Amino acid sequence: MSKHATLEAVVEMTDSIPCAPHILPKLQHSLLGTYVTTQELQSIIELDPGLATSVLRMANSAYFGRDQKCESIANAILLLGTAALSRLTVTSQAGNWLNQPIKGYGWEPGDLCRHSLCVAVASEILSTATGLADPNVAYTAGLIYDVGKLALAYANSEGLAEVIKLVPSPYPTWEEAENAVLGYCSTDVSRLLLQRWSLPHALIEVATGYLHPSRVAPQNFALVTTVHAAKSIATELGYGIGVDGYYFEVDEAALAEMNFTEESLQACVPAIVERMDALITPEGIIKALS
Amino acid sequence: MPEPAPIFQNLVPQKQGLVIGVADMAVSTDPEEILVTYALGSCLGITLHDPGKRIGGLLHLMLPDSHLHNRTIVRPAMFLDTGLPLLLETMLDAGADRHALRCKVFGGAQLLSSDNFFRIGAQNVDACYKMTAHLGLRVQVWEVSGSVNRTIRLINQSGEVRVRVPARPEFIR
Repeated sequence: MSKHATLEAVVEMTDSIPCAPHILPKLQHSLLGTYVTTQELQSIIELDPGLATSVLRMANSAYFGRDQKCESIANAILLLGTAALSRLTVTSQAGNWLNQPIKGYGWEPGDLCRHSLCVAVASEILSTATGLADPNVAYTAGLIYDVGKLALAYANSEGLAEVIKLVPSPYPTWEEAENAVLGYCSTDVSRLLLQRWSLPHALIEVATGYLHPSRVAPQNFALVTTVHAAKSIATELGYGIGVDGYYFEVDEAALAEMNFTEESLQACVPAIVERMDALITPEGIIKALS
Repeated sequence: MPEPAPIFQNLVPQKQGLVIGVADMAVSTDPEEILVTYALGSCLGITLHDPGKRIGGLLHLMLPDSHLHNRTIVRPAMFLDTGLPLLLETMLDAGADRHALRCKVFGGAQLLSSDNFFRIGAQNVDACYKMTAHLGLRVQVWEVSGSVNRTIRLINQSGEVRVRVPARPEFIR
């Protein structure tokens, strides 16, 4: 039996995902200003996986009692209003995960945020180019798709230290090595966290199935495949890639079924880099927050 | 001829240096300067260095061929076929001796087992072999391919390049 934390224990330990410490002063300044537009709030929240997850979680909570799930940041902001957002930022400020070094995936500070931001941007650009998914939903899905990895790094870094030793041999993928060492992998953590937070099924399906889009249900196949393609591009471009980054398999069958080609994906790369260039400095710091 | 084994050391960067972003390049005539670029992924980081004059240049390119893209909306440093000639020209304009130049190539990481998609790393490396030969550049170091994300620092004083990868000690090439 594994001596590492169980899947349930990891989920219990990481029930809330705080946002990056540097994002909060900017956000609270906006919220306390005399006039702040939805777009201004959206532009800040969309830069951080932790805060985006918290906003979506609150918008989809039972408190609001809506039949329809909220799938995009823009809709969540409209639903919550500035007062609720202000409370939420105070709550997020209590968290301190990102103030501490994160071991396990070999990340530099801010790496997961940079990587998620690139996946979000790439998902939106691919969706706009192909029409396969709603670009706003694709952006949101790309931003929060890997929250399980952040949770796992926080709650079970000792287990991940063993995982590193088993990749690429005897296990060619990081997912296989995590399953062998821990008995579960980061997508299992993502699934349970997002289910617990009552996020929309489409976002849960992305976080659960982005490594293997061919295995997901038909209604979300296009969205999951789009995020899979976006993750692959972000990995090629190197944004925030840790020691695990390259050890996943490309689902070529899913990409081909959605009529992606190497040429069509490469054609989107300059636009993705130019968007990232507008968002982060060469040092990797988010411009809007500096 | 096989590449010499990297020298592993626990090195602490002395200063941040001049940071070059994705699809960008820079040349420095300051012997004390350090040129750095982060997280190459499948992109290539190419350094040129004149050891006698202590002039160094670094290019962080993304894709091999500008002809496949709309060149009016992008920067020359985004592509190998436009970026490397520009880096060479800028080095010579800065006073570097073409025959003394030492070239080193880094990056070109590859995703796993993808036969038909996401081969930018291999395409960049293949194209770089041809382009450096075409330009008559002697490449001293090919620290390329593999499944690893590289950050590089060119030390203008010595021409050494310090390489950082996740969860491993920094080493010099």
